[in-house]
Amino acid sequence: MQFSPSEIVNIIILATCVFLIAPVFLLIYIKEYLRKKRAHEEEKVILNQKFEAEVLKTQIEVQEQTMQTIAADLHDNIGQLLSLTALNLNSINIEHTEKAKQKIDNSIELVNNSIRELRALAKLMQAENILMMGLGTALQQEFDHVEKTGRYQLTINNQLLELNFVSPQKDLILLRLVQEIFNNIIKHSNANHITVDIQLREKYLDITITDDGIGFDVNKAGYNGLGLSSVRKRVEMVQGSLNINSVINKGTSIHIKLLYP
Amino acid sequence: MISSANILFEFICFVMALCFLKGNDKFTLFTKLYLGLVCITETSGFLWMMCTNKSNIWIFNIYILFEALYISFGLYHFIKPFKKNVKPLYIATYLIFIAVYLYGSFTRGFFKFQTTAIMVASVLIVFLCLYYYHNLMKSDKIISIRNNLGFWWVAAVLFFYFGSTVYNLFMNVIFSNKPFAYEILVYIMLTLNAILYGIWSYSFICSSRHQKLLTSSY
Repeated sequence: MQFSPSEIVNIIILATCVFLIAPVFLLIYIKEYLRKKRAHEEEKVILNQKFEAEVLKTQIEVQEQTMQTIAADLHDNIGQLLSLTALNLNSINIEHTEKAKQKIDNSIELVNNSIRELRALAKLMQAENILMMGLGTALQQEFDHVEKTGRYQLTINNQLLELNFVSPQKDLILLRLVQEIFNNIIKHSNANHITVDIQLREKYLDITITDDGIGFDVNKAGYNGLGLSSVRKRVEMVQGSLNINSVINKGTSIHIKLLYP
Repeated sequence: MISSANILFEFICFVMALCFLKGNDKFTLFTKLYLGLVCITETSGFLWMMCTNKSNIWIFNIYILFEALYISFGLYHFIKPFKKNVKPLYIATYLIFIAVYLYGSFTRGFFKFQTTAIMVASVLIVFLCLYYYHNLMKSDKIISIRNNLGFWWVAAVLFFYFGSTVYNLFMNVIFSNKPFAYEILVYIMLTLNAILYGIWSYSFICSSRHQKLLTSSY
């Protein structure tokens, strides 16, 4: 097969163009790939910043919750005990030695009770330090506090108490999550009995909180207003799954599952 | 006229390197030296041809030894941040080229253009360019292409050596049998040189921009 000179020239030009176009497409592909990689990295940084901001917000909320508890405790418990002590001491008549001794003994017992309550409050104030000791301890303290009100009967299975490792950021969010669920139960459920089951199964943490309250319609629009939207958001932050089952007048069960620590 | 255009491209690139390429590293030094050598080679080849009316191929045969050395060093310099043990690859590339070059010189003579050695070098250089981009894409480092000397320097090399495949393949045939196609090959080489030195000049500007960004951020 013979080619004319012009055909050979055309072949050379065409082949050279092909050999030049190939690197152009390769470089465009690489440039696009690097651009996407850069965008992805920037997105990761933004997400990380959002997460850190959310952790900070959660930290503040935990502190607020603690302050509310302390205020309520000071007013309802320690305040009452000290008022009673003052009343007792005021009514002492030194001439009636026997009665005075009894009243002083009563006052000493009331003061001792107040000291015990104050110690418990001091512990609560160190919520972040408690988290350093482990999520199990921090949660247990929350449960104890709710139980102490005498309004609710609690059944607790807290396997986290046996753990000796922590996950600081996740722990803070989980503590706030449980606080939020308990707040919802206290505010809306009208329950008498609360069951908490916390189990760690093959690196997965299962938290199930059940109450026997009035329940609500999970599918009904607007149930997010019950504080569940922040519960949902926090579960997403710790990359967990949330499952809510509720039957009207029977109660509610909330199940959270996540990778832990 | 074509030789003058080539000398002009090379000279502009050399001036750009002197103006924009700052730093005390080996790459900066070798680039300036190499581009100076390119200008000297092209000018002396042109003058030799004009004055003696004899072939200047022997000048370019000496020059390609330095060309292969500089290009493989440049690729080694840019791949090094991604791969620690890349030196053997760079040395092997140059040794293979030298072996083919010497074999060609003994069998065909020193006064004939070392087409086979150039083709082998082109294949190895294209492979190293692709290896650089592969590592760049795999790397965790985020680079700004706008200011990246390495990306554009390697791009120019890839364009030149991949684009010159047809030139290298046809050169031997054309020199002997098809003199009518000689002119088009010369124009192709002129275009490739324009691309190579044009993108290299741009890469030196990128380097200068990057340096300015670094100094302004301190």
